[in-house]
Amino acid sequence: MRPFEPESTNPSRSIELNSIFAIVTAVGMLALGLLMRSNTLGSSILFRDQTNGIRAQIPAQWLLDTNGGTNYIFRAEDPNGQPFKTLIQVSIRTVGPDANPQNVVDSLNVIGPSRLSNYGVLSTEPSRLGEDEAIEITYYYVQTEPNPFVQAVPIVVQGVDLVVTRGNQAIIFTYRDGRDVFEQNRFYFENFLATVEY
Amino acid sequence: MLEYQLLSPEEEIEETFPYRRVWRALALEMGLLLLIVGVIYVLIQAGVLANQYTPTLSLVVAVLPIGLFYAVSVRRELQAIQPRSQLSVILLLSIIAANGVAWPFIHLVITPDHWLPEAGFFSRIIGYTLTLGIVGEITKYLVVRYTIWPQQIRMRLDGIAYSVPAALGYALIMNVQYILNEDPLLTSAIFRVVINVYLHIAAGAVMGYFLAELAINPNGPFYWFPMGLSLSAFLGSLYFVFRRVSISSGLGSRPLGGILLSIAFAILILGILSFIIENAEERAAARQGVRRIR
Repeated sequence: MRPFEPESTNPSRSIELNSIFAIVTAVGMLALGLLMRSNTLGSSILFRDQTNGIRAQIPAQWLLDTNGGTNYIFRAEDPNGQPFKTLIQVSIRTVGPDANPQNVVDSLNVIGPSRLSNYGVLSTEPSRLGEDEAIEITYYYVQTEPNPFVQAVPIVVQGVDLVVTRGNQAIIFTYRDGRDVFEQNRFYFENFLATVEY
Repeated sequence: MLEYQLLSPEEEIEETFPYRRVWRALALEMGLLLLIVGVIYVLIQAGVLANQYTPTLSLVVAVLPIGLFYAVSVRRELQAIQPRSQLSVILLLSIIAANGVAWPFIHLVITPDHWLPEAGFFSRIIGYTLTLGIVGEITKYLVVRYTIWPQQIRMRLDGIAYSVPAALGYALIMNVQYILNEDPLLTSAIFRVVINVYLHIAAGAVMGYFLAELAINPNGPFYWFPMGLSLSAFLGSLYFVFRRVSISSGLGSRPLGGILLSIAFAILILGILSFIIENAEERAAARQGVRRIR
């Protein structure tokens, strides 16, 4: 880089302008960086399951698993989530023709402790998904590392199951994340619910 | 009879360089840091030290660059005829700014680990420049700009001399937070210390040069500081972009790849800066018709 030659401008004016523009440049660059971050985190891709009639936008760069068999339709996980990989999942259960979401929630509460370690329910609240009635159940459990050679402390996980019924099916939308970042990352789930069609 | 006496030629008194020599001290500090970390790495490989989470030793290594700075640079500064002042003030302010503002902002707002590592090549360059790079450089810039600038800048090398404690203070916080929050293995911790220190010294030196140049020639263009900030932020981000390439090796990994990259990166940037500064000082001396004291 070639140093500039002395000019006949006012030195104090030049220093003042440099100092101001340095701050302006830094603030501008940071604003662009945060905008880029927001766009990257908010970017999504379309997921479509024509067999089960589910269509939604899921976060781009997340790992998608559609091999859940009867357990789930699909599961999307944030590979960079620490210590728990943020999860969004959709599953379908067959219910009776006169079943309502509350019946499914009761069933989930019953089988919860057998599926998840130290399972406990925090709240059960009526909700809506679009124009449909839904019930939202918030719970927690403790996830322990299954591999004994990986020395890791158990993680407290918080989850939400949003249950809606469609004919003789109950669709369960699940969001799980580490307790500490549950609220911080919840916007992924909200964005997902805002775009889901079933 | 005439007597002749032999006269000895007039002895030219060589003027002593009145300031501390920056490049020598910096090279010695960086070399000693590398040497000590190398010894620890060899001890780990030999099984003398366990490669596990060792917070005490890791934190000692994190503080080591500052110890070396005092043992080499500050000690020599005190022996110089015209010592530079307020180096400790810059170091302290940099630590406070990094720990109080930069680190929380990076950790809570930018959260780079959530979105940058998986981004594409050019997105990573832009993303790191606009976030981690600019946060680091504006912090160091503000500390130097509003403490010793321009009254303590007598030559271009002063910009480098004052940028080093600012970089060391910033790197210290990044290293300590990494060790305390990520529970890294000993090898990861000592490698990260070297990488952060080399990286911030190199990028900070670029900003230091821009600061010194405007202090010496205050008629510079209005975009001189913004250009320095952007360039140093960009250079600092380049390391992160190429880190994956240097560490990955097929299906395996090269743990030494990252550290070798940071060494090459620092040598390249500091070498170019040294050439530019030497050239500028030489031309300034020729223009003023004075002899440079070396």
